[in-house]
Amino acid sequence: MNNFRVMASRVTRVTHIPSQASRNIYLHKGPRLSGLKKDPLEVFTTSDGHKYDNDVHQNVKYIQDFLSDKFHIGNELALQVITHKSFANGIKPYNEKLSAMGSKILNLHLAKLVIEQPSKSSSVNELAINNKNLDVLGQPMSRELAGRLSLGVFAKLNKLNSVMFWNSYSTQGLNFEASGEMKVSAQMVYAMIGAVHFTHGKKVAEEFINEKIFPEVETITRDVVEADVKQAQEAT
Amino acid sequence: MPVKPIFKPSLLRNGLGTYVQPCHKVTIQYCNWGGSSKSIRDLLSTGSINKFASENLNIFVEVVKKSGHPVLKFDYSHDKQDSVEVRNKTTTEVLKLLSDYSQRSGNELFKYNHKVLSNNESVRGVWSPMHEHKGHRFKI
Amino acid sequence: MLSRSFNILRGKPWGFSLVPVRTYQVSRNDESLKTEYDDITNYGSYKNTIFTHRLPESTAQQSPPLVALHFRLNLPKTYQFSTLSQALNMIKYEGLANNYGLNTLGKTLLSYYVSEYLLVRYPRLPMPIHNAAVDSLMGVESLYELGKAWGIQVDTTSKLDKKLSLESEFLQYGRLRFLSDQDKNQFTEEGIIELNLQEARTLNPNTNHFISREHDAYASAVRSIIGGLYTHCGETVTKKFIDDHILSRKLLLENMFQFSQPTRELARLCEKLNFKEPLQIRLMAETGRLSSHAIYVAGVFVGTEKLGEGVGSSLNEAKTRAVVNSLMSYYLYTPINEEGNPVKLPSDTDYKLEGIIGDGDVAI
Repeated sequence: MNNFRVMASRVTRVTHIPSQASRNIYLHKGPRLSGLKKDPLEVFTTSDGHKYDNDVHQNVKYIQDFLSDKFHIGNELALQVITHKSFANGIKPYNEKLSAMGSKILNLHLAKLVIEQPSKSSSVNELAINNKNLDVLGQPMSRELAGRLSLGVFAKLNKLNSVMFWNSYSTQGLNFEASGEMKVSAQMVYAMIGAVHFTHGKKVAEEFINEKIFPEVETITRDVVEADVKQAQEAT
Repeated sequence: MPVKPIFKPSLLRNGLGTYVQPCHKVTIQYCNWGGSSKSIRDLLSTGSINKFASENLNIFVEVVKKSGHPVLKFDYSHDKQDSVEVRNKTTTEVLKLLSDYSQRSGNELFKYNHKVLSNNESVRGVWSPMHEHKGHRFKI
Repeated sequence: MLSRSFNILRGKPWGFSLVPVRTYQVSRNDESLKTEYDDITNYGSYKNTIFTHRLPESTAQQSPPLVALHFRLNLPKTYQFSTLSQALNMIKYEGLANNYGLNTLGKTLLSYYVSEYLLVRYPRLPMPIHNAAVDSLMGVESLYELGKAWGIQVDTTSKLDKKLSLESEFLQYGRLRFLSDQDKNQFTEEGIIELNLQEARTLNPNTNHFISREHDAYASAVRSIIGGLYTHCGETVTKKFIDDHILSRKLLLENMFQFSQPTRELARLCEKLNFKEPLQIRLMAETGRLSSHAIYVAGVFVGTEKLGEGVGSSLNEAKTRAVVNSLMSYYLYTPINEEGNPVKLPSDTDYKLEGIIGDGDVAI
């Protein structure tokens, strides 16, 4: 009997004939089984209970509050920002392309920012080209400014990742980093920058980074790099 | 993985967007004694070579004094080279060769017996008998 | 190695702790550059102390190949010859500043402008193809070819040879310098390629392909020239330069797809796009079914909309071609604006969102 049900669900899935939709289809819950259609209710709910089909305003609230009116993006786009590739097997619009764009503009803008900052002390690099100090590029600090760790922590601190549609490796007891949450949160921040960039253009996206991202990320990165340097010294 | 990439390098289209002259170096080799180099010596003493160099700032002009017949050597992009012997040529002939060869791409000359040589696919596509109206279609 | 693990945020005010797991590595500085700085966030004070000087502008101006390169690339007058010469220098240990910083900056600029172009012009390109396309435009091989086309030449004569042949010292400043004197003197035999450690690391055993030091050096020089352009002439000029030299290249996107299960992929795609009507593949025309050269035309339909069609000499071939064609016409879509021109890029002036943003690929 069960076998027949499996077959029936297969047929309905492949042909999509609306008149057959009213037939009693077995919707599977729990771990994935080949050939069984999963229950959408379960598929579109994250492990911490957020439902994709809920009110969009509720889901994207944290993102929109953070962006404020100046950098406002559409709700649909905001929903795409918080949806990761792992969610529901990628069937909903997800943020991969947005974050590809965001990480590039972030990297570029931060590189421009650090090379153009004048020295705050008496020591000035006389090898700077046209007052742009390129020696800072490639250093841990300037690299980590746009790094996944800094941005992951940044997302957590600003509660940006409170609602995020993604599928964790494991829900049991893994921490922020090992569960993959850090990586996905960082990708979400990249995607947010990417979304602002696509909606308002490069100039506004750079203002956005200056105003909303850079000051706090700089503090986080400073802690991260200093702690790492300390750790390296202890190791040797 | 639904779709995999096959890596294809992009093609340079010099002249689209910008043009970079393929000839980047000219070596003028002449002899200070031999009679076949007379015109080159004249060109050097009258400053015509200087004039050529200052008109073509994007070309590195090198003058080499070496015994033997005079030769013009041209270096093009992608390590292509060409040389032309200019013994007993008049000054005008040498100048013409200099300007002709420095404007070449460095590729070998060839005759192309077709109408179009292009990297791009035809916009119109190939005519297909299968898309004729059903009544006019040829049936086997 | 566990000491490199990450638990450094423990005890920070945000209160959550991280157990040591080695998943994220904070990047470390390159010890050999001997970097010094006053304060970690005082970006102006960073200094790589192995470099002692830059080439004086007056010396650089006397290098004929350098001046010729400057003019050939049509660089603005504000672009200093000394910076152009620095862009061609990869040697680290001779005190003269090399192109490390310029290269990094150029790479950042290039990856932004290339990605922006591809993401806006081809918003539906699957991510693996997108990455291959980025590589095709700004990968080592393409930039090497570009460097060759610009007529950059390698400095292959050692110091001793330069002295003996009375070669002008200015010549080297216009050439690509990445070989040490030892490398230059090394005896090479035709047909035998010796890989150094760095090259061996890039060797692909399946294709026997590797990135040679020369290719890498050319690519780095091209990137550095772009970086140098930014430092002297600003971003607008750099964008134009990248447009002209990199984005004007022909991208063979339609040859870059390799489908494993096209029909399944198309079915999943239709599901993702929420098409109400079922996907159908129908035979549209045929000729010579009983002959040795039958031709079939198959079409892919969703309701009354035709997504694509394909011609083949068997029903299966026609069907597969039709499916692949419809997938390609989806993936290679380019948005245009109301006037029928390509949409503006976010870095253009007066940008407004006219195109679409990619939704992501389907999984099968």
